Amino acid sequence: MPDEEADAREETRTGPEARWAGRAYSARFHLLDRQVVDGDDRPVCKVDDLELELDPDGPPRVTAVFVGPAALAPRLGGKTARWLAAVQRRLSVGEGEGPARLDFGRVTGIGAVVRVDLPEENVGVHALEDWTRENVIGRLPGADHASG
Amino acid sequence: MRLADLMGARVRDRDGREIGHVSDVRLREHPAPDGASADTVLKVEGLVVATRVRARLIAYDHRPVDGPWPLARLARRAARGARWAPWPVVAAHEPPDRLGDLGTVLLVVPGAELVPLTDVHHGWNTTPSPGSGAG
Amino acid sequence: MKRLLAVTLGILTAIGGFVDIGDLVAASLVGARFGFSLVWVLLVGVVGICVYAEMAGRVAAVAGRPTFDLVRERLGPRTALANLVGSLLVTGLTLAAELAGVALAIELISSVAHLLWVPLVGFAVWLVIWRTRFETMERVFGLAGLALVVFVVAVYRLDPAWGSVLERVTHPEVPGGEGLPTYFYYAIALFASAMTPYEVFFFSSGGIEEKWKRKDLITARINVFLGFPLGGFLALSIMAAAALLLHPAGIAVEHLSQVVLPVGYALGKLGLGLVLIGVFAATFGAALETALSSGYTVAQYFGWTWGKTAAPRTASRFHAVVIVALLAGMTLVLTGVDPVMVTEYSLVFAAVALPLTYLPILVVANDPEYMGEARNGRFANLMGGLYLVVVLMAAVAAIPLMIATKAGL
Repeated sequence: MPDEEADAREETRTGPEARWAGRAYSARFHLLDRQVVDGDDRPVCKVDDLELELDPDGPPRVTAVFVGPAALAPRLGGKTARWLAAVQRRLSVGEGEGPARLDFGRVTGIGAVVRVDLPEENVGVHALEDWTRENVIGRLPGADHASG
Repeated sequence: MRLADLMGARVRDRDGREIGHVSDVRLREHPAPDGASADTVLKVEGLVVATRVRARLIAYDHRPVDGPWPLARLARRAARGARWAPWPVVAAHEPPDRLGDLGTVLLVVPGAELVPLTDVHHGWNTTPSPGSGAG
Repeated sequence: MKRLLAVTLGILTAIGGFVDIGDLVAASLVGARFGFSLVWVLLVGVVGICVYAEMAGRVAAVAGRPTFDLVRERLGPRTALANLVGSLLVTGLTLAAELAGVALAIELISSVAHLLWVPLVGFAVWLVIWRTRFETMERVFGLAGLALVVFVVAVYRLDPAWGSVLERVTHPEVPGGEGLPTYFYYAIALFASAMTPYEVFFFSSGGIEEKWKRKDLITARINVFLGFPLGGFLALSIMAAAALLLHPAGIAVEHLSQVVLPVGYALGKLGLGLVLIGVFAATFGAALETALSSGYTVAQYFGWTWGKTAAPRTASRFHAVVIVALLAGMTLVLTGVDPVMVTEYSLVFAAVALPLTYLPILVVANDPEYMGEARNGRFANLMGGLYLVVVLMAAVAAIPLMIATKAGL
């Protein structure tokens, strides 16, 4: 009963969520560290950082949400930042291509949560989730069934 | 460039004096040009410059929150002396030298010309324009 | 009946806070050493956890956000990381102690050394998390834990002079032979375990697992105002039983078998059987609560998919954290450390985690953008502010007192 669920969700929303021209946000309080959820309210990630694109004729524009330890590390500051970045570099398999990004055009709502429209189950922002699923959790019996 | 490069960055004015740090970045939705994937694009509007000590209280300043009053009062005190630097007065910004350090933001105006932030606690989220008389 | 069953989340959460293995022994130990002179701390603790669990439950129902999500959002990634580390250490150490506690309860029944049971217990806890429905889990262990009411019956059977008990509760005196720092050390330890942070993590996340919405605010509140006082009442009766029987006899409590002594004395074998069921269910329930809480906090800090209601495949990092926490807890217990000492030392980390957990809850519960009309009223703010001060004072005093008294020796 998707309608019922949508109603229930509507009922719980308190502040505005839609992105209309002219709406303003504080980076610290509306965007950074907010939970990102998909259309079904499932948690996707946190807004670890935002990607800004410089525009010579005007202010920078937000192009993506940065996700993952590589994005989070600089925000921890000082030694903790360098330590997390070092751990992340050693654990990652990629060629240091920077943090995973979620295109900002997919963001459909900004409120108590940041809502994104994901094309399919997996968006490639979840290297660790994929690894854990393939190698640990997915191999245990019963991993496909929710216990409820 | 990353938002984190701006957050917390040291702010130097036209004369090279350090006048504070970036305590917040404000953004606004703009109508998207034709052919964009979304209806709006989000752009940086300006920087909130904290000119006093690094008193950033638990995400309480900049919020339309009144209670409990001792916390709200502390937040107001901490936010006193916040200035508004609209993006056009930003001359340049340098990312931190090494990971985990702070970046630097340079302004084209003297620090005294920045207007005090007047809408720290109320209405920022809904008002059409922040920091009345900015620029 | 359905309404009644709906409060089992509150009961199970409160069991983890008030009658888990550390508290079972601590309440009994305090009763045996200090008589009724620390009962007031328990009452202060019950009111405190009610105040903040109500806020956390309300935020979960109205804004749909669990507590650790807010911690990171409001404190920023750096301070929240300090809280995460502190909370994980408290939760993890408590989990280790609970695994030992369940094993000790089985040892009392089976006479087979408890260390042999630990791996089995750890596996059983994981299996319940992996396969049992959330509501079934909370009902079975919440209600079975209520078997501890035999302590209430035992106190009644011991037939104290109620007038003089009341006198000793309302006019607390430090008993002869105990120093004032030791008295306050135990006061803080009792208070911190009543308000231990994993309770609100578990309670708010559990509310979201049960899909609470705004209309469930009443359910959330019944859970809080029935569950936590009930947990406190059980702890109180354990303390009272020890104060009545062990305190005058000069018996010091060091082991679980001494905790159940008053019940055996007052109610015989049947009572002893019931109390063992109660201890087993309470420690097992607390193990579930702490194991899940480890997963909840880490997943919510990083924004991962979490929860028992999702298929483990889709929340694999959450389940991996739970498994790692269980393995770490089992390993710690198998080294042979005293589980009660372990929960006592977790107080150090609670001092860091407590203020950093309760402050963001108070802040968000006041924020109209999250809460709309359901934001805090004056009374909630008065109590919240008051308890924040108490929590801060306890946090500041905890470590010096711990060192000064050598953890209450």
